[in-house]
Order: sequence, then C-alpha cells, then structure tokens
Amino acid sequence: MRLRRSAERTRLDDEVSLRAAYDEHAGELFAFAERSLGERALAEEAVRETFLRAWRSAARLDAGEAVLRTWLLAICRNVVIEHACSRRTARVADGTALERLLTGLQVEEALRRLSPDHRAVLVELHVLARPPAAVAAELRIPAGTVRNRTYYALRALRLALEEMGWEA
Amino acid sequence: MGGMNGCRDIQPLLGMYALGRLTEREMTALQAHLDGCPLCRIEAAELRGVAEALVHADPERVEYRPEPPPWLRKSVFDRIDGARRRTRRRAAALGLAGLTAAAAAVTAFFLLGAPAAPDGPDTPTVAYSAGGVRASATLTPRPWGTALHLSVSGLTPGQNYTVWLERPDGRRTPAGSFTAQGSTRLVMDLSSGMKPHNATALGLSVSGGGPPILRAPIPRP
Ligand SMILES: [Zn+2]
Repeated sequence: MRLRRSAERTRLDDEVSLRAAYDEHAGELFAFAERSLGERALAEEAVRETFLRAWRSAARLDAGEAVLRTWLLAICRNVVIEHACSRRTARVADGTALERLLTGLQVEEALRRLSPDHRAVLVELHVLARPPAAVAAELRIPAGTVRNRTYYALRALRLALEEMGWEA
Repeated sequence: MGGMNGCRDIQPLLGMYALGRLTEREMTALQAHLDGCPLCRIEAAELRGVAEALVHADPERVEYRPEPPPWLRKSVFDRIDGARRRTRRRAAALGLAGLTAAAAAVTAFFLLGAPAAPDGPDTPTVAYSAGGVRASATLTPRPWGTALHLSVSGLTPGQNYTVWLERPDGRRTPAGSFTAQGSTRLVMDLSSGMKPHNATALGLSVSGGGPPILRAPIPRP
C-alpha cells in the first residue's frame, strides 16, 4: 500500500508541474501556433494537443525552465507541422518558413524582456533598418549614445535568449 | 593591445559591427584590435549570431502577442483527464485492476531523455525504477523493426521473463525472453518486428502470464 500511495503522489506532482508549465508557457505556445496556423481555433487545438502529448510522455517536468520551454516548443512545432500538412489555411508554406517564424517569435519574446530603450534602438536600427543618424534624431539621443546603447542592447538580447534556452 | 585601443574602448563598436553599421574608419580600428584580441573576436561572433536572428523579428508582433482565451486552461486539463480515464479503463481491461503493490508501482516510472534523447529523436530511451526493479532501454529503428538494448536489475534469480512492445491499441508483441541470473544487472540486445514509432510502451512480464513487472510508455517528442 505504501508503494501505491507514492505512485499516486508521483502522478499528482506531474499534474501540478504540468499546470505550472501551462501558466508559464501556454501564452508563447499559443502565439506560435496562432501565427503559424492563422486561426485562433486551430491554435487552441494545437495547445491542447501539445499538453496532452507532454502529459503522455510524462517527461520529468522538474527539469530547468529553459529545458521545459524548449521541449514544449518542440512538441508544439511538431503539432503545428501536422496541422499545417492537413490544412490549407496555414500561413507557413514549408519547414524553412516555419523555422524562420519560430526564430522570429523567440527573438520577439526576448525583445519583450528588454528595457524599452534597448528594445527601441534594436528595432529602429536593425529590424526597420533606419540610418544611425535618423535613429539618434528619432530617439533624441547623441550618435555616440546610439552606438553604446546598441552594444549593451545586443548583449542583453543575447542574455535573454540564453535564459530562454536558445542555442546559437 | 598596442596601448592605443584597449578592449574597453573598442567594445562599444562591437554592437554596430554585429549589425553591419560601422563606418570604414571604425571598421579599420576594430579589425586591428580583433586581429590581436581573441576575447573580443569571440564576443563579436556571438553578437553577430544574435543580430542574424534579430532580422526575423517583426516589430508589430513585439507590440502585440495573441493570448490564449482564459477558458483554454480548463479545456487543456479536461482533455488530459479524459485521456487518463481512458488509460485507466484500458489498464483494467488488461487485467491490471485490483492492483497488487508491485503492479501499482508500474505507474511510478521515470522517463529520461524526453527533452532530448542522447541519440536523437529516432532512438527513444526509456528508464524505469520501482519496487527494486531498475531498467533502461534504447530503441533503435532497423529496416526489419526495432533493435532493443535493455539493461535491467532487481529481478528474481532463476525466473524467466518476457520483454514486449505494446501497440497503441494495447496489443503486445514479444521482443524476446531471458532467465534472470543472480541479482546483478543484466544487459541484453533484443529485437522486435514492430517499428519503434508503432510502439507506445515497453514492458516486462513473467513468462507464461501475469501482470507486467514493469510497463514504461515510450516518450514521443
Ligand atoms: Zn579586446
């Protein structure tokens, strides 16, 4: 009987971890699914399927947050690919497009974790490809500050990506 | 470092360098430093990698991220509850109801390698530990089915055991049998005609019948 109780506790702990994993990562998984499948209803289904598979494989959810996040994203990516293959509504035409989207969404997640100053300088300069002088004028800072801020912003972005489990 | 340009002076240029925005004069100064400074070379390469990923970001998506509806959480766990009930019913149908302590321990498995199996996604690793029995197995796809590398300890000496793979519908295909010798660890290579992707669980029973000594689901990342 002692064994039986401990077996049940193992299951309960898994369930608690899975609910914590949902609270922490469902938003990002949903955003990824919605952006690749193009429909909220399909994204909802993809998130349900992702957590069902996570529960089925009963992986050790006490692994580090970064590992857990990467693992859930990998499951969700497979689910999205399966959906995309069977539906014409998907926005992602092929695997390369999906990988690019996945990279983009992860970088966006990392950008959200930066300070507004750091985020602004990277978006203006690199994503929107504005000239440094225009960025300096837009942000009302000297050109030298744009240069320094870019350096520290890129370092902060690298750190944020690393914390998310990113491997360059 | 020649004294003229130390790392501290040159580092701020690395950001613009990574984004490909240095002027020709700045580029010459930076290049001269990088040629003699391995540490700054490493940082330059790292920031380049980040900058390459950055071009895939969409500024509008940074501002707005679609959020799941609040009811989705309940719907996710309702589905898991449903799957759990179905699993229980199937276990009952297989004769696992009225569990002995040993059979109850079957649910107390640990799966390793689900986030990243050491040999890649095609070779799931299953590890199990309960009631004194410890086992781990690697499943490798082969043209004819599955090669199974099994390591197990804690079995009853002299007892004959059968190893099997289970299909999604619950049917089991034997992958071989062996007699436990002593209480030391046994390592063996077995094979099954079932392809690894068709196998949902791996288990071990006493030959001739009885509830499984262990049954571990195969992780499917
Ligand atoms: Zn240096």
